[in-house]
Amino acid sequence: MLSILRKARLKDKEMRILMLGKTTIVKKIMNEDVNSVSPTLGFIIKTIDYDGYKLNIWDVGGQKTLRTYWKNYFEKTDTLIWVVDSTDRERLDDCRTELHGLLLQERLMGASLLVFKNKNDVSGCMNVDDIREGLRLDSIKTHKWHILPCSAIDGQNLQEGLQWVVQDAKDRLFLY
Amino acid sequence: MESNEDDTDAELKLVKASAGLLSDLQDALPKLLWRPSKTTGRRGRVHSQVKRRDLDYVLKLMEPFQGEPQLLDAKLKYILPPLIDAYLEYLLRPHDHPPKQNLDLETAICIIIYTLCKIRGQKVIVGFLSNEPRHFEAVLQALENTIFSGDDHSPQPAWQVPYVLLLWVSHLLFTPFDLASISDKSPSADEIDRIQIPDKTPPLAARVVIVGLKYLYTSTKAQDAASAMLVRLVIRPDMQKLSVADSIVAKALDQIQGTAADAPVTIYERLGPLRLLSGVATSADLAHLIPNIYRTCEKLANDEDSSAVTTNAVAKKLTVKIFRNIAILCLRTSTAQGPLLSFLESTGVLEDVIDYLLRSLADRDTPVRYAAAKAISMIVIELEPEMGHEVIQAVLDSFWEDVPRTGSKLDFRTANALKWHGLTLALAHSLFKRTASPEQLPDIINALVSALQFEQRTATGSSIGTNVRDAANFGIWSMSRRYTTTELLDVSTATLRFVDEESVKQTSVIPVLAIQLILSACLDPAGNIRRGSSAALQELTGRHPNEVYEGIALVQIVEYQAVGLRRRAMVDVARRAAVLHEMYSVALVNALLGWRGLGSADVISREAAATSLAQLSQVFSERGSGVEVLDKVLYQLTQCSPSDAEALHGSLLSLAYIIGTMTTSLSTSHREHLAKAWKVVDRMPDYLSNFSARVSRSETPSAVSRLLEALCQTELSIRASGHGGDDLSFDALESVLERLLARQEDSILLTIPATAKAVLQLKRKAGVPLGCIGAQTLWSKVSSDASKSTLQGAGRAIALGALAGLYDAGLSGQKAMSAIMTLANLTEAMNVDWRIIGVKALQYVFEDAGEDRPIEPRILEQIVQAVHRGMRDYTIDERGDVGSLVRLQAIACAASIFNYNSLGSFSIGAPEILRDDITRLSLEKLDRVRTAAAHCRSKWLGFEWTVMDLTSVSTYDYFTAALQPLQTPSQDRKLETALLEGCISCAGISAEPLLQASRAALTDILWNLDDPVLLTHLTTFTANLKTLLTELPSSTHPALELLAFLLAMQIPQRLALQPDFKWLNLLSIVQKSHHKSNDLPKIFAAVQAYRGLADVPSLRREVVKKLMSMLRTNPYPLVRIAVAETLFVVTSDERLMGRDWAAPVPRNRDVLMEVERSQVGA
Repeated sequence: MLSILRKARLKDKEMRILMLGKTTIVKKIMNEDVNSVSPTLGFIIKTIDYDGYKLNIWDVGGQKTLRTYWKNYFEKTDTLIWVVDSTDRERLDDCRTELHGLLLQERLMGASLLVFKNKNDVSGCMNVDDIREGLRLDSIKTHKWHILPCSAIDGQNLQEGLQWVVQDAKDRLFLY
Repeated sequence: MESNEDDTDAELKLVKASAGLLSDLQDALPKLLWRPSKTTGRRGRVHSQVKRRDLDYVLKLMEPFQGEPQLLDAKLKYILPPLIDAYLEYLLRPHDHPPKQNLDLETAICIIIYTLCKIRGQKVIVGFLSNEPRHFEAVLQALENTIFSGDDHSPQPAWQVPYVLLLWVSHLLFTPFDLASISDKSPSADEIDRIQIPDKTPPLAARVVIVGLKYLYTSTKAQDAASAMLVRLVIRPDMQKLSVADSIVAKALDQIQGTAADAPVTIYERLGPLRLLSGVATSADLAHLIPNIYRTCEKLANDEDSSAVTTNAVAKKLTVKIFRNIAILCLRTSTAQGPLLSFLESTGVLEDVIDYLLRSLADRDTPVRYAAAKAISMIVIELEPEMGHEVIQAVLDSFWEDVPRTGSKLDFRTANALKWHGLTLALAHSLFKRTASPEQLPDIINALVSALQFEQRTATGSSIGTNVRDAANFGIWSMSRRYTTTELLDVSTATLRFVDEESVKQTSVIPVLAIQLILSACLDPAGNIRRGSSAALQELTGRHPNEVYEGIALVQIVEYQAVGLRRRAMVDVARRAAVLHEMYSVALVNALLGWRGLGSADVISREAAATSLAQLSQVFSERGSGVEVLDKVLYQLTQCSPSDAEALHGSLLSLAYIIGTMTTSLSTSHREHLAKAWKVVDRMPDYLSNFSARVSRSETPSAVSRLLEALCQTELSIRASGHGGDDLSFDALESVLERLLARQEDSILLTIPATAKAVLQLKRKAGVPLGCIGAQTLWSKVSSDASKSTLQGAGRAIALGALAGLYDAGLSGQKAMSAIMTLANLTEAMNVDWRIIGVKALQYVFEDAGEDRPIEPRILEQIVQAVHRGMRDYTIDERGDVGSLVRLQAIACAASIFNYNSLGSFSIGAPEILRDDITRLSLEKLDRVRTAAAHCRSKWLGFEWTVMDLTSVSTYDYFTAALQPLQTPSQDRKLETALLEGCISCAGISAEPLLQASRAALTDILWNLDDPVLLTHLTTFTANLKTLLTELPSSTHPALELLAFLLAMQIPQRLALQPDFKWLNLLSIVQKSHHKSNDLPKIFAAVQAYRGLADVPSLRREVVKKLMSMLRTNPYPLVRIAVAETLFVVTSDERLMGRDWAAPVPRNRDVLMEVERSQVGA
């Protein structure tokens, strides 16, 4: 039993996060150079220590060719981070279909959803409510979700996003 | 069992040491991987090989983290990337010469990475492996090389290499690009034929399948990695399109059924496919394959004859996993449509799987039970809540299938311990995931509380069920964590069974659970259960604030560290917890009466339980309610059958301890209870009616003895305060005491003095005849028993010793004298054990002696003489130096005499004779005797040396200090004799280190002496040798060895021209010492001595003559050879050379004549 307790304590503080769409955000969080993103890798894994938690971020690119492979990465995901380009009005419908399709996946069933409204620093971008309606977030009942405007370039709201992820984990771990 | 206290110490140490270990590791790794660069501070080229020693060093730095892997986390990003960089660089270089003694870099790196995987878990480590598609080809190539290198004579690579590479390839398979686009190097055509995969499969995938299948059948961990890799491959979207999975699964199914042409032979060849199938069964995308997998596995699992899969623990575990995965898949997809929906509807898959899992909970293999328990909890999560609760109810009901439901006492004798373990575990896992409904909590708590007390004894008496209690701890811990205070408070305490009546009075279950955890944390025999319960108690108290009475204090008392040692937990922790509240103390008392306390299998635990009960009894008296504990123990005793020796021992002992604590302030109710306790004496003869091995091993008799003592003492103090005087059952008392005195077991002997004294005083007070402890009765019996070969009746001798001073006032008068004479005579008994008893009994004489109890001088003289005899007991029999046991006992007794002396007014001066004995024994070669004597000498005889342990009395310095009196001229010939005699023991023949230390010390002292002092010492030594010849012939050999050694050191020779030293005397004693001896080593020692003695001019002629005569007459060829050698050294006569002295004497007679003529003269 003592070894189970030890393991449980270790696991309680570890999370797996799947980030779909934008590698620059992870780079920014890790304080790495945002201009050196290489699309050839396909995906990257980064570990961040945040508020005593170990966040293992699996970041997969959003290019069309890669999307068929997203399924590969669903295993035991605690939080799904979905990055939306808030300047790209045309693809919003596309984006919604994709997102709602993902949420049906059985292996993402227990995961919470964080929507990052990226490129918030660009003037004339859509606001949070636009995205919320565009993606029909309010119709999502199967997953706990949250939306934050952010910017991969100036780092706006990225820490707040992580904060939400960790708080969500704490809430889920009953009576932590 | 008691060793796990260091656990947390080790943890703390590791935390402290980790910084050092990690920085060493960071330093050592680059050295192992790269050559130092000549030009810059940058790395040089990678090494191609690594020394085994360097690798071992690195591994040794990592292994300590196994227990606390998270300490590694911060450094992983500095440890792994260099390893990976170096490896990739190594792959690019040509490396054709295989190393001979060293490992190649590949093996070294893979072993390091494997070790990291083992410590931190492979999932974490794999994340650091490069996932760049451009490395795919190189890594896969390296993996393929591990197979194909087996063709030539190069050694098989370590299994860690394929293991790590398989993990790496699996990781690379995450790549979101078409495999066809990465590499198009094809495998050979026949390889492709063999694996039977779809034609359009990209060559890269085909190669992955080939290596994967190769390693799927191995017996190492590479099998796990291979199956994971194959699963990863087949669930890739591009592979799904090609249906690669279908062909691989079909092959695997064939293999586990054993129907394929290449049917597997070993178990590993079946485990591999099973493992693969369990992986495939997790994938919803491959759902169309599930029905087939399920049907095949179901058939296998229910096939009675299929030996390999239904008997192997790992196979069964994998089957459990496959079923679990299938069930979960079915449940998850049941809402959507798909191939599984019809499968789920058409077959009873779910019911069958749950049924199989429930049955597996009782499996005899622990891993299977673990897997089944976990599987049930996982399936329950997926089920509709109602159905999930039904499953949990099924688990709950199974608990009571084989345990009697009636009665309030738990009876596990008929229970299946394996099943209880599995069920409890399943429950615990479900609680951990919070899947049980709060309405089920009453049943759950009943099951957990019962499981926490689960214990069975096997036919051989060993205890089983620790794992059940462990699982119960886990369950309670999980429940405390996952359910809210309100949910727990809603459980009515009236629904609880199997907790004591005190608990039912509680209004909520939380304190009830807390009490159960306290009991387990304080009393459980297994250390990890106590600690587990302590952890669960902390969880329960902390998560539900203000529900457990004095919770914070409780948690601090019943703390993880404190419960590490069982005795400390049972006695100290239990008492401190009991003080907090009556409910705790009542529960503890009740539990102490049970299997975790007085019913323990071992004496030590029962003693701890008895001590604890006595302390709790005091806790009760301090609260003003005095006799509950006594009452309960008395009741318990009436329930014991006289044949249950262990339980009797526990109850009697606790009764004795409890009564022993209540000598002060006795109330009326106390006295009533004491009267009840006296009734126990009536039954005592039954307990002691037969002395089987079990009875004496259980130490029941000594408990009886202690109880008698406690009863008598208490009765005495009652009578002293003017109460009492009831009729006591002296007849029974007499008969019990008589039985005890007739015994000889150490545990009984230890208790006899106190008991005998207490009974004597009480009998006197009550005016009852002394009976079996009367002086005359005792000494006449002892005298007659002592001539027997058994120790029967040794108790009487001990009693006589203890009582000798009590018959009259102090140790004087005729009775005492006769008693002492009897005991002193024991030291001359034939049987060595009786001699030990005699000395032991004499030691008790001094227990009461003191200021006010003078010992009559003639009595003391008797004792001293007896002890002196004991210290000169050098009996050796077939058991060895049994006399040493007597000597040891006598040393202890001598210490008592010295102690008595030191008390002052009656001092007669330390008896010189004993002083000499102790001094001699402090130089004894036997370690135990020497240590004891040195201790006694330093404590009482002004010997300035701190005796701590064996090493402190085995060094050169020790011997120098011990022999110090030899350095000064002294008139004390006796002390001198004692020291020199002691030297014979340690510096004559003894263990080599001792011999060296003592001889060096002795030589240095003698070397620096003035001639006159040396002369006295040698004269004394000679006299000593002479005495030994007659008194202790066995000591002459060591004495001769010592003499030969001293002569070889040229020490006695300094007196060669001293007319005062009687050299001839010494020579004649040496001659006598081996006269007609057949003890060859002794003769050799004497011959050695002759060589030295020949240096003395006045002896030379005599010595040569003696040696010549030995050459002529000694019947032993070996002796003659030695003599001839010595003679040659002495005379340098060349004629002695070149002769075969082993040949019969007449053949050498001619030479002898010649030599004799020239050396000795006609």
